[in-house]
Amino acid sequence: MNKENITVAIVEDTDDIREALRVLINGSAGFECVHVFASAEEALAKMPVSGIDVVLMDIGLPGISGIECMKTLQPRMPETQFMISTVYDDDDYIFSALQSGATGYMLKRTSPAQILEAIRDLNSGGSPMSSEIARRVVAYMQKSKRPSSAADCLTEREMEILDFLAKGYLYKEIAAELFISKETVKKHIHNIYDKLQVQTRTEAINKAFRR
Amino acid sequence: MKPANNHVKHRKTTAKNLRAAAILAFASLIPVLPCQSQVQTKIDSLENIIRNAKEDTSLVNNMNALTFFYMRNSDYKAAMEYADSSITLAGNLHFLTGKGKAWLNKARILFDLGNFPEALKNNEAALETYLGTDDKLGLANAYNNIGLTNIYLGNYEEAMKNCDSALEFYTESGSKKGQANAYDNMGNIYQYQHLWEKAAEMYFMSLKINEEIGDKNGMAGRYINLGNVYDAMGNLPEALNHNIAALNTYKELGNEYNLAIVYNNIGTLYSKQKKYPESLQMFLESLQISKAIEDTVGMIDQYINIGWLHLLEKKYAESEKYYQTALELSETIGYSKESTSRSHSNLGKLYMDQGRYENAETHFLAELEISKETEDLQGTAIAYNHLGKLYVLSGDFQKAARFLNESLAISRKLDLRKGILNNLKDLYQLDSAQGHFAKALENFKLYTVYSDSLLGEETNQQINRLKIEYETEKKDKEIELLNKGNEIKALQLSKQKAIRHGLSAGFVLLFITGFLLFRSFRLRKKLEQQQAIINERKRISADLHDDVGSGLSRIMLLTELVKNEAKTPEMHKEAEKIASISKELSANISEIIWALNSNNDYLESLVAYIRRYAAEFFDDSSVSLKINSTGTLTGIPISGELRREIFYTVKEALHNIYKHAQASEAKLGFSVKDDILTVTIHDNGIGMPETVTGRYGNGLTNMQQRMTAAGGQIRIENHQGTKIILEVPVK
Repeated sequence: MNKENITVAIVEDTDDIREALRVLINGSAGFECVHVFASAEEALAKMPVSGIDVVLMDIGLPGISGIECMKTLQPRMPETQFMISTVYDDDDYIFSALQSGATGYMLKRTSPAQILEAIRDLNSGGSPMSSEIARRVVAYMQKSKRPSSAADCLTEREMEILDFLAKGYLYKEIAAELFISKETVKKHIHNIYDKLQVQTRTEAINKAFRR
Repeated sequence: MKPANNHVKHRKTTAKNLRAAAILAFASLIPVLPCQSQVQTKIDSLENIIRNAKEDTSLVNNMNALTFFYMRNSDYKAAMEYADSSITLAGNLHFLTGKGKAWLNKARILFDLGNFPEALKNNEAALETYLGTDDKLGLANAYNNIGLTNIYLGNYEEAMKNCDSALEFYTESGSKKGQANAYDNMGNIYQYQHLWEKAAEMYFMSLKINEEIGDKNGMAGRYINLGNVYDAMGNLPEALNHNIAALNTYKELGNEYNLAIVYNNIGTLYSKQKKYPESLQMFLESLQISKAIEDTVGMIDQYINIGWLHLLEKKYAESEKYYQTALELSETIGYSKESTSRSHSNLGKLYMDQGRYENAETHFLAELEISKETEDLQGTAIAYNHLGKLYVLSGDFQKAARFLNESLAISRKLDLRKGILNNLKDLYQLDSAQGHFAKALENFKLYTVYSDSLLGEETNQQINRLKIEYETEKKDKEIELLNKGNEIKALQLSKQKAIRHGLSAGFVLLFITGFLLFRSFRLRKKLEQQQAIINERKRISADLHDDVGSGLSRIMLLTELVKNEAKTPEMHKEAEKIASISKELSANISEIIWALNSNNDYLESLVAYIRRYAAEFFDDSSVSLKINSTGTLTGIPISGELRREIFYTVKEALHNIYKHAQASEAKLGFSVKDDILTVTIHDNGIGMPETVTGRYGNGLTNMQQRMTAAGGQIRIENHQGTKIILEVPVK
């Protein structure tokens, strides 16, 4: 395995999409597709715990869903980023995927070049966020009154960024407004996703404990 | 017409569970429960012992034991006598724990006899007695039984307090079984209040303790409770899991009677999942066990259930057979007029479904007769309604009107909202069938008023539940519901007030009710329409996603492969073309889906979306873009159509700038004032030519049309470039 390459695993049930993605990734410099799985069950049974930078996970899998699969895999693979791929750009799906451990998402309609860019971006610590998702995150974080620790609260800067995103600003514009680099904006958004997951997990634990 | 789901008989699961809980809870007074013959032996030997006994504390203990055994033999008279003697003697001896136990026994007798208020008093006497001792277990038992009696009296708050105290003292005295029972009772209290999650929490606690002490019966009971709670929450898979756990446990214990109940529950759950063959199998199992243990009541229930399943599948002959058997059996054992009348009712519906009106009439009349005989007014109203419906179908309008009105009158008297509603509905259908449209309209109006108030009532019930859930943290949407409920409440309050004042001024009342009627009618229509639109949008959007969206992604990926393997530059170019067309289509679909998604029905969403679109559009061009917005844009709802028209108009304008204006700068502005949204698109290019033709011209016409459709207007000014001003009312 070439250490320079971004290693990718694909979980996707449609044969030609899976195959095309594999060829696309392997055919692009800097990328290597190391595993393909046709179902969540297969992924859960065979996914190695290390050596994978990014998992491309289809949401609409038959049997166990992509979200459930990710919930199980993510704690096992702390070094790996999960990117949900979905035909639904319904915020509900995407938001719950983000809560369940994804730090990125791509729509299946995305062009091949954009897919590769999204993978590269995610691997270097960036995450995409639309204005609808930003609004959701703000609403969700404000509603949950019990952060597990102070470190899990959103910082003022993160709130600022969310606010800009909700208004439809591009990363570039936000960077200009806040006098920071675009990369820094991406890092912030990545952190926001992490906090969102911690928050969601905390709530799940609280619920489980109450039972 | 199909019988509603609730015609599957739930074998009194909740009532039975409560009874089971009661027995468990009271049984903790004496831990060993001997069987019937042993009870008689015990009684005989105890009678012997006390015949010439000294008046001391051991006599009290023995009398208490005797009380218990007489209770077990259902000899309540003897039991009561010993309980009273024991109280007196223990009082004379100042033997407080013995006296407390005797009070508890007496309360238990009264409880079993259904005299809950007296049972409560005696339990309270027991509590007072135990408070003077350090008998923690006795104290716990007293609290527990006070709690339990209060459940039966419907005083849930009081019941909860006492069960809480009981739990505390059971814990102190180290009685695990007591703790499990206390949790169980608390679960019951929550369940009766429809606080499902809390009920589940309590049952889980109880289950855990029962597991700890290996009490299989207790475990199975809690599995059933949890199954019921999950069922109520609509979580059928979990409900099934727990009932299956109960099933296995009862199999292990060999408890046939409870097995039949669990099979019944599982069958009911399957029927809710529309798994009718599985459901049938379960009901048959239950039936078989009931037959084996000669439980006729259980058999009748299953005959009714199976009859209902067959009816659902339109197997009329089979269905008829089972209902008939159920009917015959209920009549022979004289059991429960209620189940006899239900069999008649279902048979009647079955025949009505088949168009066998004469047979249907016979059974509905029998249903009516039994209901009248048992002075079951609600049943009578239902039977009248059935007959009315039947006569509407068979064309005997005169009779139909008579019966429906009869049913309506009773429903009104009893304030049975659903009954009133059903009859009003049938009446206006009857009237319109006869061509009496004025009357039909009148009944329809009444119907809408009642259905609104019923809706309001249901909303209020839900609000009460939500309020409590909200305190423990819940979703935004539920808060919205709460607000809606408050509005309805306020509306109802104002209605009540209006009625009070209206007594002195009739015309005011007339005016207000008229107004409210009109309003509620209009509101309902509007809500229905909105819902229909939202549903349609969702459907279209889902189709776009599933078919077109994923299809496009396949095209794009496959084109990429073709491009990589292209042997000639021409092929490469063609593939590139396909890729770019797919990409454009994909972007268009994104826009349509965005416009269809009702989550985005707010002005701030629209502005954010346009903003991002514009920024991305000019991102790699030589045009620099400035965007500003003034006025508050938040919280203003804006429909999908309006959003679409505005977005496409702005999009067209931006494309024109890119293609024709030769501008270096573009300004995009949003503002809201007096419910008018103003969007300005201003570039510093060459300005609009005098006459525009071709696609450019078409584009302008399009923009104009879109703005007209949105109820707004568009102005185009040549002022240091082109300035386009869109004004759209947004309220």
